Amino acid sequence: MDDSGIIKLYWERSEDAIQATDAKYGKLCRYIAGNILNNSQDTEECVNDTYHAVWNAIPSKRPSVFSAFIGKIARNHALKKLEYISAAKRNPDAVTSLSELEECVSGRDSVESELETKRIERALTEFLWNQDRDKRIIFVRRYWHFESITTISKMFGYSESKVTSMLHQTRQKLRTYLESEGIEI
Amino acid sequence: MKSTVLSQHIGNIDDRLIQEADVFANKSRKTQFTKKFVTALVAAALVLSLTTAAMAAAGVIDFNSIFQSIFNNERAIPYIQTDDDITEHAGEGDAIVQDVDGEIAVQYLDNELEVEIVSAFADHGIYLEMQFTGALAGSLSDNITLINRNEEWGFYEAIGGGTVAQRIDVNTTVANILLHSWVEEMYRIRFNMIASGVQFVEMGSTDMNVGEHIGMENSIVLPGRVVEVTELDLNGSVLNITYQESDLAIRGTGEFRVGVMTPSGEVFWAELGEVTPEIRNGTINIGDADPNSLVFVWGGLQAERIIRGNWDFTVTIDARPEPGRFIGEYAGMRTEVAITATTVRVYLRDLMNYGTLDEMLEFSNEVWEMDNSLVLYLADGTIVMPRLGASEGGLFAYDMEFTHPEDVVRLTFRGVQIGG
Repeated sequence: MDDSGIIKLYWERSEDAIQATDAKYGKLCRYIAGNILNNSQDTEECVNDTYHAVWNAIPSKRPSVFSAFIGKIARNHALKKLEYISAAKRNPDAVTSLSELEECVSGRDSVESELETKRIERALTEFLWNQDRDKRIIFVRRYWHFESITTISKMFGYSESKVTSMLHQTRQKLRTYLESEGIEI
Repeated sequence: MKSTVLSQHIGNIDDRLIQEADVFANKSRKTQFTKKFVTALVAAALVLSLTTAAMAAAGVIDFNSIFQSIFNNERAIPYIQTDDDITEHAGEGDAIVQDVDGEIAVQYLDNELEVEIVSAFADHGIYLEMQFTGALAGSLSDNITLINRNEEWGFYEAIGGGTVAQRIDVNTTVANILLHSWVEEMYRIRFNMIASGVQFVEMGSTDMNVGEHIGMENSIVLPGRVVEVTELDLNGSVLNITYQESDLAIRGTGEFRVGVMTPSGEVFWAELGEVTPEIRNGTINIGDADPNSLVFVWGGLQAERIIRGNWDFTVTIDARPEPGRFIGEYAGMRTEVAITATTVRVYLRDLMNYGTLDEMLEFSNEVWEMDNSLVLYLADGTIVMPRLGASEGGLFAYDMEFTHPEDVVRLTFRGVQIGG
């Protein structure tokens, strides 16, 4: 079933929508959540939460890129779940990925308005589009999908040290860019 | 900012960035799989050849049965379902596409599907639509290449599988589809023939959402409530059609036609000329058309994107509002009205499509300008219709001073939803 068909089922409030979503995107959701949670039971719960959230979101939303839509929801749910899981159980890759991002920020608590949030997200998007394709994809795979350096290096055929170096450079650039945009980091 | 917060922001980056990374990863995984498979295959072949050579020499092996079993491996053969002339398209709304006089022949040849369009619908070309279902839908779809007489039409990538569609020109009746992937599991391909850009609405209904078809460049896209037939008067042989104002949203300069297809397949066309805001209605002489005929709309609008949907959105704040923030929502669109003692600020945000806000606003700006879609009515009779220029990253803002103690603010927002 194509995406529009699935979305139509949601709009019709047909429970088949969940089944169709699971058939098509279950694997994607489990992959994203699994990268973050590293636990099959937690991952499964997260995927179920994701379906529930999609059910509540459609209608009224009508996502045009359904894979990204559901992927984002799965990612957000997994990150929330991660907060509640003890440090011992945490997925080292996800935790490491988050700690790497500390290079880009001050670590201070900050309260952002909705406007500021939008601005930061736009800045991030613009920044990434201005990077080389490889660096851009590596950044997204690492910090959006929480993939390990090993996985990414295999994906690109690069050495792990090269991927690590590329990520480091991108993070430095990102920090500079955010500062230049007047975004409080 | 903390890294967790930054990570949350990263989670909301442009969908296309995620899509790009997914496409890359998908390809990479398949490349790795193929490499491993080939390596394993070579090793297995080496072992097999050594073993079989030894066994053959000993007179204990039947080569024919071995190779027969290899080539008869059904797991490597896709299941193909063809619909010769069944063209019902699962679009939005009440789209009904009747059978067209066409046949499609599909033959599986090794790793190649030969698709022959035996006859096509009238003179409009044909969409060959392939729907992929099954466990491998996602991984298979980016391995589809359409070859037209050795000229590559396109390489399709669709994360998560789905439908790809390719227009076949009238004079082109044969297409070969090469499947490049190793097929791990059974999958199903369904071929539909859909007459290019033909949108059918059911005659006699007053709720006539025109179905949507994902079209290619220069194809017709007359979707969902953009063309809404509000009056169908089958009085004698005359069909009166009145379009709602929403057809203002139709853009483009292509020919726009309305037709009626009788159950026998006979088509009556009515030329309505170019689509302009002035065209609101038309009359078609349909002769002795059967009441069970279908009315359909066809056109050659050169839309870059599919335009669909239309909505009105009203936020009414009776009397002079108290300072504060008011948020209204309709179909996913949020409008926020922030009011101070003397000023109302209107934000329009999160318009309809998750993740495609900028893209949508960029494209639909023209439409909104044309529609003067944001209207503020004041109590003293003043009507403010700000022209919405390019948005600043997907956020429109408009400030208005209160001038009257009984000002009423009413937002009427009319626009089109852009989607695909």
